[in-house]
Amino acid sequence: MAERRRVFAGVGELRQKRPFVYVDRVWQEDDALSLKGVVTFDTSRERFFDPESVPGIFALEALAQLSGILLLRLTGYPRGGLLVGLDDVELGELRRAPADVHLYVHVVGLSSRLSRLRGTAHIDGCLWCRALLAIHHQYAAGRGAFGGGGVYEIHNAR
Amino acid sequence: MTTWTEGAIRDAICNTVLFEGLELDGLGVKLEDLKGETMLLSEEGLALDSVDALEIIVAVQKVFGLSIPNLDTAFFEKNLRTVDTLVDYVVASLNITFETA
Amino acid sequence: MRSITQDEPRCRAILEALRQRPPFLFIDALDFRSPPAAAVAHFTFPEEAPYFEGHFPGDPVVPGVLLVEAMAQATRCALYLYLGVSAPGYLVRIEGCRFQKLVRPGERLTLRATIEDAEGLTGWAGTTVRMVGARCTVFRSGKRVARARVTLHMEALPVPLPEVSDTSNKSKGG
Repeated sequence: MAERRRVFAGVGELRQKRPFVYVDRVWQEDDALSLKGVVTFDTSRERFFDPESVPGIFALEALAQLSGILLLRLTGYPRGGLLVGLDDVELGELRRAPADVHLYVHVVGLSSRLSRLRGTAHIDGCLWCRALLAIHHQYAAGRGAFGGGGVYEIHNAR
Repeated sequence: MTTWTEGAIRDAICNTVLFEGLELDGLGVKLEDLKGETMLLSEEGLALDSVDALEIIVAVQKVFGLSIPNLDTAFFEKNLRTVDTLVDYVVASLNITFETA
Repeated sequence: MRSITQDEPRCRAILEALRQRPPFLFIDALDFRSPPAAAVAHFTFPEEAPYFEGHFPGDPVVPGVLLVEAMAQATRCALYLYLGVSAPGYLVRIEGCRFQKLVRPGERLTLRATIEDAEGLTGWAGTTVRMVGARCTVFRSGKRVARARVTLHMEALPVPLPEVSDTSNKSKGG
């Protein structure tokens, strides 16, 4: 089935720029509270330091950046926010480039200052990384869908 | 549903929310250092930062089953000023829940 | 407490055992007398590191995941210093990781890693290390800026460690 691609905010809207960008493409399906993406581990030492053995922390950074894009779309907060917490993280063994890492994040809690998202990263259909991420909206300006001083809160832990 | 007393609320805040949740032993703080008048965010007290403050709120929501919608600066300054003010906030919130149940 | 820096043989041997190399090595000094089953390490993220060009342009901030990697490396130093074990390994679990303050390049950081829940550690001979847990904290000027509980999976290779003759009498602050 063809995937619907509605890229309203994408990688270009992130504060992070090359070489520290770890999301190559994003796409959103029906659920507005989730986002999918992919990053290709390549032989660039600038991005991956040692392409022969890429550690799982780069999957974590990829999930954080994908989360930032999703939060941009949901809240309109500029630049997405800062990663302030990681829990329930499991990482697989080091991987060798090239590898396509499929990323998925979905929101489990959203407030004006702190959002929590669950994320997974798969390589060749196998889970390589999972995490619960906490993102602080450091640059909250009260604009966007949930601005104007009010706070929209979702508590829907999944 | 847990029936909370003020004493149990205070214990849960000091032990679970603050001491364990923020890993205060890593800052050289002992559980017995957490008194009612201990200031949470001030440099004169625990000097907790904004990330710690958010962590406290998340933990309070989880431990006491509360929903805390309005997280603005005034909220933090009022309710996270000391251990006592945080206890008072939770006591008041839980009483409100019971009255409307 | 004397810090040994990377130009001293003992520190060099420990950092060599880590296998990571700059720019992916995030320790440049170790306190020679750290608490038991722990390591106190130091590092300054260099301003010229290439990742700062993108994180963020005009506003360099140390990426949180690199702080986590630094904590994992400090944990491996703790293993080497006190348990006589050095083996390849990688980070497998993280809990309670909090990035509390922005960390900038050029700031001197202190990393404290305390080993917990080590399983099957037997020392130099016949190592059977598998999973090693540690509580890690990163300080800047005495203030906590990050923390995490990490678990490393250590490959159980009985790696003989090189003999190090510590002939240096230099004392360098960290």
